[in-house]
Amino acid sequence: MCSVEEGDTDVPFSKSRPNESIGRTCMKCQEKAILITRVNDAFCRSCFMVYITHKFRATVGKTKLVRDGEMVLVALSGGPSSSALLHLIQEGLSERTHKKLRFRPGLIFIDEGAAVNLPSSERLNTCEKMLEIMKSTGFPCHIKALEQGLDNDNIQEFSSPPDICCPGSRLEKELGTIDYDTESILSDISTATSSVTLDMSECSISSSIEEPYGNSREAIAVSSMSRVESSFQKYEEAEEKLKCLLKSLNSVSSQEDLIRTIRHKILSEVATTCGYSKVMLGSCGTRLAVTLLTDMAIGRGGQAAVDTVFADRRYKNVMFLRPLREFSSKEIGMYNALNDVESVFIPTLTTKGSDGASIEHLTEAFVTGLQRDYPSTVSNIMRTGEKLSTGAEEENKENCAMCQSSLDTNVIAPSALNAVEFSQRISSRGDNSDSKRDHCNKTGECCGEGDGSCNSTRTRATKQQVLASLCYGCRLAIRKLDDVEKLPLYVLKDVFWRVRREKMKSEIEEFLLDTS
Amino acid sequence: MSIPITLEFSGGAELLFDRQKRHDIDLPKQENPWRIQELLPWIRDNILKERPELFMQGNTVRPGILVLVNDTDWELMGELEYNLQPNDRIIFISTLHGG
Ligand SMILES: [Zn+2]
Ligand SMILES: [Zn+2]
Repeated sequence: MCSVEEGDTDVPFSKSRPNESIGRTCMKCQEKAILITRVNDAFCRSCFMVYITHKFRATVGKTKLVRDGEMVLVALSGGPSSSALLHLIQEGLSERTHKKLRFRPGLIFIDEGAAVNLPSSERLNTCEKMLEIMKSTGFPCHIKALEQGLDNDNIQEFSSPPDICCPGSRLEKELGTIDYDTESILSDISTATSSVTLDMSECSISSSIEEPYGNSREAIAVSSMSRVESSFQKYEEAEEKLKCLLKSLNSVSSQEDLIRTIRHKILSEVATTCGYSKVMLGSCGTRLAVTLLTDMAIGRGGQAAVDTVFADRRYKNVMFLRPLREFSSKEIGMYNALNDVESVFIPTLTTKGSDGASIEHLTEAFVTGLQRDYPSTVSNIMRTGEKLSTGAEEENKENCAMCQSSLDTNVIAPSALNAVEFSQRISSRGDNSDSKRDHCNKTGECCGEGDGSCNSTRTRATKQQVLASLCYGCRLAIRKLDDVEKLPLYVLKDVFWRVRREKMKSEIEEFLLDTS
Repeated sequence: MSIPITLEFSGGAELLFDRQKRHDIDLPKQENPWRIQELLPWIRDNILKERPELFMQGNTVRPGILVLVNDTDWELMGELEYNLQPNDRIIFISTLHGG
């Protein structure tokens, strides 16, 4: 059954002719309008600001999910949406406003330069710009690199309380002013990416320490330098590993998908270890409409709803929020222009690419093209998305080892999944090396059974075992991957754990009472 | 008399202009008034450095690029029909992901 809401018509509202809009006045106060938004509403500057702030507060407030004093990690990308989000949060926390926001934000920037092969000098430059923006807010801040997500020990190490892992922690406690975490990581990134930038990173450490503590400056610089050197190798390895993993995927679409997965993993990891219970993402409605349609096309239809909803609960201890989902990219652009909100341009895999560079890029061209002629496009897509029910949110359901979405691979016979599996079976026939490897891994390290009976530290998982623990979307993304060992460590560990549990289950099966 | 105006590119649109965000230009004198309709091809032919299809589509800007005339949405100014005035400030903001 399909119900048509009041005001909906079969034909999308198309844009009014350009000359009909000249000199329109604000729909609220009759002042001279400065922009047309939503479908065809004209606003003056001050009414636009009120409208934006009100919409932001309403989105954050109406669900009552964010409690007073709660620690919320705000994910910044440098782009216009998250920059606007930061500005809105700062405004909302400031005392000038009547209905004040009351949560405690922390900021995080994830440097994804390695994924797009940015030279290290540029990465350092970006990190420094972001750090400057983040520091000026006075909120706690973190900087991570995407490659840190490949090795979760790496994430852990830098997120654990300073007094456990950092030689400089004692000093930091005494000073109480610098965020050791951020400073050292920034320098780690810069040193690791290239030894040429070593000098610069040292500067960034020492210059950031405030004058009165002049004599402790050197001590900190030195202690973090030694640490930097020890982690130097680790970073370079991780960066290589990331590049290698991305290179072995079959398409830019899969690469984008994997980057998104790793990014979210880092966010949830940092949030958990640093005591944040929520993560705020800056994605605006236009972006989410693109995500929704892209998800459908890349085999993530089952996740399209959680990927675009306000409160995403797929991660265990952390909730992801999307407070800008009611905003269009035009509103964000206008808000930033009128408030002089600075954003840092950061290239992506499809920057300067043609429309067909990736599925996501093509979808974006499609949505923005439609949006221009039919201004209700984005809101229609979003409203349709809201009607999608995830349905599969039972507590004890299994999650994907990679993206943590609930596993959508336990399905009935006539499905896309089965069709893909069938064609893979057919096409891999004759190539028996693959099926042999299922049973016995030839590395000699371990039997591949994954029961831990051999003494290797971690069993190598077979591709079949990995695939079995992934959702349909993640399976598609890594379909062409030649060696599963390239996957992030957290995925392999999870797979290993599952394999072991299965094995144990089958071993004790005969001792269990039949419940049927 | 030529018309001095300021152009600004941001959100990644500046990449097509040698990463230069602000351009102060003088539009040469012509018989008919300069409209944005004539300005766009002029930009393409004179200051755009690469990939014209990422800036223009048909006779207008590519969808996803927001145009502001003196801090006002160009949709309120007649879009392509707008008559440029001396010292106008025209901003092109790419709202597309990754520019
Ligand atoms: Zn007004
Ligand atoms: Zn998955």
